[in-house]
Amino acid sequence: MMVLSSARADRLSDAALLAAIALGEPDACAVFVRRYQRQVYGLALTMCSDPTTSEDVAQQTFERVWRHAANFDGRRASVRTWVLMICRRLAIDAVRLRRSVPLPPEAIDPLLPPAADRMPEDRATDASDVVAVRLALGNLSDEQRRVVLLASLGGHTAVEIAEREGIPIGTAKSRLRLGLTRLRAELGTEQAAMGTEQAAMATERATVDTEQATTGTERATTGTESPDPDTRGRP
Amino acid sequence: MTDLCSVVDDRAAELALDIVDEPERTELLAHAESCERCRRTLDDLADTADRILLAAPEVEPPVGFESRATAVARDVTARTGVPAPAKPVRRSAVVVAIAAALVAIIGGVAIGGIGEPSTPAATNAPALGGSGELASAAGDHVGEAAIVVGSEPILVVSLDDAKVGERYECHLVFRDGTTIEVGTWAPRGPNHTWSIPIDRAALDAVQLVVADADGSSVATADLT
Repeated sequence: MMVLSSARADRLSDAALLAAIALGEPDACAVFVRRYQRQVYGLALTMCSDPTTSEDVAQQTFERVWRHAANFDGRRASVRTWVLMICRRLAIDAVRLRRSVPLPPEAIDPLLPPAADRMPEDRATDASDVVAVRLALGNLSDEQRRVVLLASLGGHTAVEIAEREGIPIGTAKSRLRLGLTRLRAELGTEQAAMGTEQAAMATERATVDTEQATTGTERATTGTESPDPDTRGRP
Repeated sequence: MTDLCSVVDDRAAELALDIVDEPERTELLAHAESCERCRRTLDDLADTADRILLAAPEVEPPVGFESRATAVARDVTARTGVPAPAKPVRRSAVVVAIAAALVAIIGGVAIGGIGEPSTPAATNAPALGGSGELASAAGDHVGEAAIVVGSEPILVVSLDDAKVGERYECHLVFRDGTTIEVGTWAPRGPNHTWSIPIDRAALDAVQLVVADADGSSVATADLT
């Protein structure tokens, strides 16, 4: 086992930290928990409502991280996204197992206060990412935002959403499709507005803090998505 | 375009949000796996769907959560063992971690998934190759270097206090004294790490030399 001081682990990028975890470095695990526990527990609590269930889900999330750290695929997801996807899947399973009501519709509105109000709490995340997502969600119509959040944070199927919202299933699907497509466009615009420098930094964060280059010509590497098939089955 | 392509088009948002029930979900994803058009459609939307999770607020977990979650890590390690580096020599932690990340990434290509702990790929399993500490002419530690050996070898270099705006050239030196330039690197900040694919023949290199734009040596690392 390599020896990695807590101070050094603190300075590692997410992906490098995950690699250190895969090598069995306990300090890296502690740093990782400190870095992500608020976000993971916050997502679990948002989806499960119940604190006890949420803590179980958050703890299981980190257990999955420890187990699968060596298999993380940095080409397909940022570490943060990967961890949150694991948490989401576990939360959906937990809620369904307990037959409780996942993300009741009335719970959606509090998720979207003015983005700036949330800034001080967003310590583990890159604030610009969080603000961009919340602003983009805020720019959807109320109907689109509700169905998108019910699907994403609630884990509801289109049929369930249709029943809950009292709308035809075709309408639910249409709102989901339009909402997600518009969200993608909004986030794409936001990304472009970040400017070259920030976009480059974002790309770098999404990588393993590395870049591949050919002589004289740099080209980006390894930096996109990676779902855990356990949490998402898309290719 | 097949009938399944039409279904994927219709249900792309639901697939991206992972709310399609089985067995349809598996059927559509299996189709997308082999259909570049559908795969691209899903990837585009899935990236957006994943980012929605950031909208959830951060919440301080209950007291003691951190220690409990960390204790689980010790249990997992005790039960499952720790994947050891392929070459157990003393290495710098940072570069080992980064290089190991690349090993995992490259391994992911060969193994093709994340759901379960991987088994070593039958061939081309990535491993850590030669590595060493970068030292200045005065002998001070100024960074690290490591080679990840996979289907395409990659050189990983980390230079402490790298100067933003400076361009660094990396040269590999062979036992017979010959050298090859492997690339030029423009750090975006101090402690920036850089990686570059290298030719398999370069695996025989015994030393890395990092030079500034004037060609003056900044640091060297013996790759062992």
